[in-house]
Amino acid sequence: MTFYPIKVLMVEDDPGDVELMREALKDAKLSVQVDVVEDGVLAMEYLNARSKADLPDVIFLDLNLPRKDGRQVLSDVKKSEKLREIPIVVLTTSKADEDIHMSYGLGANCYITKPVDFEQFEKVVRSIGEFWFTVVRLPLYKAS
Amino acid sequence: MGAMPSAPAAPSGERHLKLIARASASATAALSAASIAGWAIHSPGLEALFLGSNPVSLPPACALLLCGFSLFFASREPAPRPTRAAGLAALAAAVYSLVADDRRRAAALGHMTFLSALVLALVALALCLSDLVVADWRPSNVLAAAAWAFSLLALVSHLYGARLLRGGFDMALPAALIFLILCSGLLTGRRGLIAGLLVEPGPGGVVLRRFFPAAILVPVFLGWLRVLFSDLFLQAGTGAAALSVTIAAVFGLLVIQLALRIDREAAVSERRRAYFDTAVNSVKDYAIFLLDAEGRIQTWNDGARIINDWTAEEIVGRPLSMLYPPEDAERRVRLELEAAAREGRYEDEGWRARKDGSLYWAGIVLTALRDERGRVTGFLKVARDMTERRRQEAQLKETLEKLQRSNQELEQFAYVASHDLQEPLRKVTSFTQLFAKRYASKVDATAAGYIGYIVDGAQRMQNLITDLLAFSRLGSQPRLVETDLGEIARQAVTEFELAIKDSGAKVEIEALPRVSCDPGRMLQLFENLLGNALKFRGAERSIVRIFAQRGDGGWTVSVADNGIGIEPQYHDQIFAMFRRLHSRSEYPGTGIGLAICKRVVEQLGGRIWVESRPAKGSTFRFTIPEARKA
Repeated sequence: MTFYPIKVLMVEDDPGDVELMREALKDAKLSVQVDVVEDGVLAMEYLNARSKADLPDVIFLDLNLPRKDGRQVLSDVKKSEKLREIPIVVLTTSKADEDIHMSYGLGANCYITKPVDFEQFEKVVRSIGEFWFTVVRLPLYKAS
Repeated sequence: MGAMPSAPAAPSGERHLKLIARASASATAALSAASIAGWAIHSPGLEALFLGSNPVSLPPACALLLCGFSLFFASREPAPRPTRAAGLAALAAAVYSLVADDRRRAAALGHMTFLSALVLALVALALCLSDLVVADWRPSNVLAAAAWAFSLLALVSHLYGARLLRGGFDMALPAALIFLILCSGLLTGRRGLIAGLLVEPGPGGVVLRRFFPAAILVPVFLGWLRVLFSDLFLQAGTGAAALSVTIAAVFGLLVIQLALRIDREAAVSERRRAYFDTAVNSVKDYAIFLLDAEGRIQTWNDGARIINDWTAEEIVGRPLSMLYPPEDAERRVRLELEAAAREGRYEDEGWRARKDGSLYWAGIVLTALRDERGRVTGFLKVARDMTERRRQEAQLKETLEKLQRSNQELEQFAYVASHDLQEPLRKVTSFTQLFAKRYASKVDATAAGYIGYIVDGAQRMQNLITDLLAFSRLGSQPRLVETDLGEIARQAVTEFELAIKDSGAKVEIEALPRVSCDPGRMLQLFENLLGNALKFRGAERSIVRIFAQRGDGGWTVSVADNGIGIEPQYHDQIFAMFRRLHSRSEYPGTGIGLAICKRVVEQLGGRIWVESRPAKGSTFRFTIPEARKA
């Protein structure tokens, strides 16, 4: 088990969703440090500026973003030697088949549709947390 | 005289001509054989075939036998080898007889007159060349005709006791008769000018069939009469007078009869032409007119006048290019006439010009007219003004395109709208719930009730948007995949697992077929039908049965429940968009589900309907036609 706080980068332009995510994480009692950037350009700047040890453990990525959208961010991250190991959870309202296919095609690790209901959203966040933060063994370069 | 080329031409003339040729060949062979037999048994009577004249000498008799034999096979094309061999043998004999001097000829071949030898040579050569055709002419027919004329001359002069033909120009009567028969066979055996005309149904054939036999038979018949009643024809002048009068009488009668018949037929064809002209003229919607081979207008009907504005007086004799827009009239007309002459028929649509230069869109058919030798003598042109139809077609196309565009835009709009509508709605719902959760202890019951309404309204709106989105996505082409419907049905059941467990419902899935369909849409169809079956349940425990039956041309799949049922008057309406039969508090729903079902089924070429009675349950059935084999 890892005991250092999990670091999450949330790429999301909707403050409401950010707020909901924080609340859901709080309710799920997950000890997570959330950094938020509002668009794709900022996301890439954030990631590129960081040393390997400082990178987030997971990225929550919305697809529809201002300036540089989520698809491009996804593609850039998965192309980068330094960043490609970071798991990306696509978190979006779109249920369109094309978006799902495209996201996995670009290397997304997980595609989740934002539920309408807060209760459900909380459930989803909790299961994401359980899955990514406890079940999956993430690359251990930080522990060493 | 049984084998004159005078047999009446039958409809199946070709066959009859061949028969005549065969009969002539057989008669020639039989008569010459008889003559040879006469020589063999030294019977002068038989030698001369009992005609009381000079006998046929042996060499020509043998040659004639060969010719008869040859002719018998000559009607086949190409002539078989015996024909040519026998012909060559006869030719050799004739040529020898012609070139050798009298003494040596007499020693080798006995007596053969110059005329006999000449005719024999002609006939034999004709037989040898029977297959040869030079520029539509058969030389063999010309040779046979010449031989025929010489033989007839010899025969007739015998009958009239005329001694015009002296010495070498004589021919024995039986020889003349046999030659005549042989030549008749030669002329009819192969289709040539005379034989062809003889059997032709047209006026040429009629004239030939009447006059030709008469022209031959009258002198021969009179000559025969002269022989029979020689005492009546004491003076040479009597015979000549009788011949002249008879010819005048026979031919006069024939001409009168022929004239009457021609008149009658001309009247009939004139009437027919008049009817036809009237019919063509009274056609108003079509321009129908004739062109000569150079494309000059020959006739002009009423339709042509109405469509083109030109009157017959103005246009007849002018070139067809007058009816075209002047830019490339000459070239277009040339191309069209050439195409019609080449293909026989040319169809086209294009702009044409009226008298005042205004254009109209014409549909035309140009047909080449040919004479019996296949040369183009002119053209028949039928044209129609299709401007209005073209305009309508263009309009229809435009409307259709507009409609398609607007449909596409509408679908795009529905998709985007419902997609973007979800975002704010999610906020409303989530934060209301968050608010209720965090501040539950700080609001009173009324506020809690309001919160309930907000959440419920937002939830309903969310359902509507989801369903609308699903419906608008059906606008795109379905992706057809071979799909196991049983698998789809089971997947649909897992979607309602919780509801099924809670209500104790029972869902039976019987054997379902594999069909070609869009699996995602098929799942929507099953989910909607199954969802309805479970939702509209009656008092007792609900039982849903999903099964399929094979029919002609496809499958019928049914989802049957024991629920509340539907009044018959609503059976059609329920498939319409937003159509609901119950209040939301009774049974929630958006009214889009069955519209989705209908669209999915219809996209596969099937149909959907319900069989139901109130309180007796409902059975929704839909058909899936057999996938058409590519």
